[in-house]
Amino acid sequence: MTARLETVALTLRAGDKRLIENLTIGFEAGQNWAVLGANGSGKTTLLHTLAGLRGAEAGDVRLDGVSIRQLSARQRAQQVGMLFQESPLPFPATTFETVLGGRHPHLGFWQQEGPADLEAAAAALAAVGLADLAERPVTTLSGGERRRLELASLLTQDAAICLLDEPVNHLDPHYQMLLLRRVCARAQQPRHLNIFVLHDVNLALRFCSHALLLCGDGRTRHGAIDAVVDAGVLESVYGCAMRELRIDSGRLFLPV
Amino acid sequence: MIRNARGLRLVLLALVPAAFALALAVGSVGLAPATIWRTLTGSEHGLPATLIFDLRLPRALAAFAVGGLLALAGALLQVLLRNPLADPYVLGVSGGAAVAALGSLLLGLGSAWVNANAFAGSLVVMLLVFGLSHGRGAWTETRLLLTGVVVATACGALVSLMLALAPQAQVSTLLFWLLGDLGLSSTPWWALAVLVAGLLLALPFARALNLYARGELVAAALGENVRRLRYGIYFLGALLTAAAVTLAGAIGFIGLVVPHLLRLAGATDHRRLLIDAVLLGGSLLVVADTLARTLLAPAQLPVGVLTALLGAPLFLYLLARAARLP
Repeated sequence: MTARLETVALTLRAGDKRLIENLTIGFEAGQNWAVLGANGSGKTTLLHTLAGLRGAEAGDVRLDGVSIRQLSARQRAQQVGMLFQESPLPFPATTFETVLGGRHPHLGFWQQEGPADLEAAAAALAAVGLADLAERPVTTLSGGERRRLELASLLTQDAAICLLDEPVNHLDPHYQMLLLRRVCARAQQPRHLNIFVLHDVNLALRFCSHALLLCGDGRTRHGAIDAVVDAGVLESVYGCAMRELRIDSGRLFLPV
Repeated sequence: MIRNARGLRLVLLALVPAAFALALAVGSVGLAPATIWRTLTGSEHGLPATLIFDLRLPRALAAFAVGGLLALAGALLQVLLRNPLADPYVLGVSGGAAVAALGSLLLGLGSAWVNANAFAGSLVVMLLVFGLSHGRGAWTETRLLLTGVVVATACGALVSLMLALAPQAQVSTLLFWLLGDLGLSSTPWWALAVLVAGLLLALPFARALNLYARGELVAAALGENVRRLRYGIYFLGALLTAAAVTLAGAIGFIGLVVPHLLRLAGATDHRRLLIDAVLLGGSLLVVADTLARTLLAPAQLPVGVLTALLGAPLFLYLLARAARLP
């Protein structure tokens, strides 16, 4: 059986730097993946490649067995959603208009948004706690509000596979918990899965079932998160000493 | 904001007939509204009919076409360059037209040739900038912007050279072309057709423009074929500009200020903004041209000078205000 989303002998480079060498991995429905790695280790490049936004230096990304670069942008966007690390908003628009953009891949060329699309956008805004700011110009939002707006846009897109690049950036602890729970719960739906780039190992341990660790020199490790993550591995990935603490609900890692 | 935008559309729809009424009424011979109405409905002949059908209406229609073309092109190119302060001339299209037009004037070619060559010149620059900005390495809006600016500067230098070398008698003709002028006698149906066609071509892509304005990656992630979209906006924007410049020379500020004004007024969805830009750009240029031919009558100001004189302070005001926005 082919995996929902898979990489086949995937090799990624940034200029001359090897980021990922020969990675073969299957992301299955129902899973929540954490991609962990130091700055510049290729996490964002990997996510963009998985989303089909850039080609691989070698190897392939397949969605249900079909090379993702063979799908049209529209077909891709109906199934794979992407939350960018940062997205500038140089032009004024309202919060609601921006979120409504998430329906774009589901609308035909001549089609206008219908009541169902408006409802989806309103529901997504409510889910991220921005319902009251629907008519506000996005330029007046704070960093955290903007992040929630982008998450709302992703929820509105309603793609079965979500790729999230540092989703908790700028979010306070309340919204970190609320929104990670909300997004992770989507993986329970048939054919759904999430891949998160995270810098907080403890959030990864708490919310993710699997982890992919990028060492920054082309080597990678992946598997069930409890099996691949330990203090020694994290030390080699981040290049700093890590301490493991045992608590009732599991393990915590602190840089020391 | 939606209610706001609907009100804005109503204001603009009222502005269009008001601008035309002003353009038809004002001039060396003033015409009363009743006379204009009777003339338009065909029950009045003689001097008012001559004034309206032979002089004022064609000129007002030309102004509307050029203003609409420039505002539409400005709105498109601002999205393409992801810069709300870009203007239709930033890609050098008008420079190419100016070089070709002035060259033709110096050679003593007729006005049909001057126009044809101006259009050809702008197409050459359009393709040149496009080719150069797609050189080695990735396409970025900065690369396109810089390529356009440099080519425009080079065209500017050629224009200065021609002005310096031109016989004294011809300099004022060249200057008038450069400053932008609508003193035409025949109705430019072709330009109005280009305006309508351009708007109809752009509107289906307006929803995609909303996404492209947020970045190429965002648009791609939401299912847009960004390369196709980018090429489409570039060539459409450049062709609309070329049409406007061919008809009236390089009239400044309309393409820059109009989309910006509308965004400030709440027309942020491009499905609205593109239509609103045509209505506002067209009306503003009709008014500006009416002022240009009446303020210092019987002398005629080049309308480009007037739009620049009115546009510059307005734009600086908007810029100062924008800096205060959160």
